[in-house]
Amino acid sequence: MLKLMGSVMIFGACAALGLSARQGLRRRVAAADAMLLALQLMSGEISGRRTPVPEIVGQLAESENAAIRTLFGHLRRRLREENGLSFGYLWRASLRDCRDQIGLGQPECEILSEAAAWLGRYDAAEQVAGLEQIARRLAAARDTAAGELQNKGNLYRTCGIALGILVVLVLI
Amino acid sequence: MQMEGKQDRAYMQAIACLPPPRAAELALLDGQQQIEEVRLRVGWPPSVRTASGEQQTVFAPVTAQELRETLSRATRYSVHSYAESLRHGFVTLGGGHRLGLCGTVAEESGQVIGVRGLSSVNLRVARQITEVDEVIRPWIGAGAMQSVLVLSPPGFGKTTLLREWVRLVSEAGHPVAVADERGEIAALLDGAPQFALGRCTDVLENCAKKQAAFMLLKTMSPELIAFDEITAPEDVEAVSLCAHCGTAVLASAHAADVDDLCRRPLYRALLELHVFERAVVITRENGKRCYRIQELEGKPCSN
Repeated sequence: MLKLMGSVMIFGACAALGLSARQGLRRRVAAADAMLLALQLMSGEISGRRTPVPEIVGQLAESENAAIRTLFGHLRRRLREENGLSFGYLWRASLRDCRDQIGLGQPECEILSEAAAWLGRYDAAEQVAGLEQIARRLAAARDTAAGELQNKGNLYRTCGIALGILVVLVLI
Repeated sequence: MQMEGKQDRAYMQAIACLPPPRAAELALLDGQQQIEEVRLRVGWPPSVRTASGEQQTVFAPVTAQELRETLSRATRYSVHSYAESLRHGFVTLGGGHRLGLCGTVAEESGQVIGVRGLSSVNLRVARQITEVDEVIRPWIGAGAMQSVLVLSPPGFGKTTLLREWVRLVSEAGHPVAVADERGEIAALLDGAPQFALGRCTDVLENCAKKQAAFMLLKTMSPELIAFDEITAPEDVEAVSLCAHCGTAVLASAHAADVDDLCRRPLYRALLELHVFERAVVITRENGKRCYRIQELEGKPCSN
């Protein structure tokens, strides 16, 4: 009985390892999708209504999408702290702080961080052009992540399960 | 200036756009209710201006980085939202306070597109002064609604008087429309004016005066329409739109008195419309504001 329980636990652990690796890839794609959605809204608000950045951040902090809500909720909190730090710094810091929580990949995070240098500092047309460029690069990174999910996602899951079975067989 | 005085709400709200360490320093100043402007010039300690003149503080000299951060904070990290006013060298802050900018102007095709390399800023504190009420009250709402032009040099309280005038007319039950191009008369926040403007007042903010006049006349049927600072030919056109259509006009202009007004071609054109019946001239004597009224009807402007 004890042996059976141990085997089940080992199998479960190995399978979970494989599945979580796959889930990480899936979250990365979902986070990139969410950020693309946020960039689209930012672009629309800046070009159409000239909405100030803190108001856009506020709108995004109320988003239905959990990843957007988490990142921009964090940024809104930091902005409200009125600690004298520049917006660029707060933007980068929020991305860094929330990256793991929302599952954003390192390359996507770096792409988004680049917006810190110009976001809110130029006229609407320049900012929209900048956001579009960021969105294009982010979309490319997202496609890479989606490719990885397709190629490696199933592999990680299968390997995890197979490893679990192998270990159990060896132990039995 | 002395330190550790009583805090004034309007002053504290205005200095909130400065970097926190600088705002904390300036929050210690005494006599905050008398402070009309805070001036920051690179390489010099901040100075404050009251009715009796400009006084330098004892704080550390201002840096260029500080001015850049002040502008970022004043525009709420959103230059795109303030592009038009930046082209005119100022930013209107929450509460109707105004941050004037000086530095190196950036131009494109002969048009100013902004100010870069800031060298100084002037933070003008906006306040609702209700004492003005007693001085001008007899002139307001007496008889039929009249068109009035408020005149004074910059910083003498034209906007303050205009705001109070609007409030009194509105409180008397007359519909008033305010074309608040710079957002300094009403200082709307979430649709609500941050200054008392009366119960019958409609405000159109951030809209060019001519377009605003057209929209307000068409949609709000005001008995009085108020404009702040007639400074360009388009503003005179805005007044001409309202002329002789049953709506009185309340406007302000930079001039020491009516004779001074007549010397400038733009204002001669304004007077030739025969819209304004009276002018209220604001002067300053011994650090105190004085108001006097002058008839404009039939006033000849010699060339």
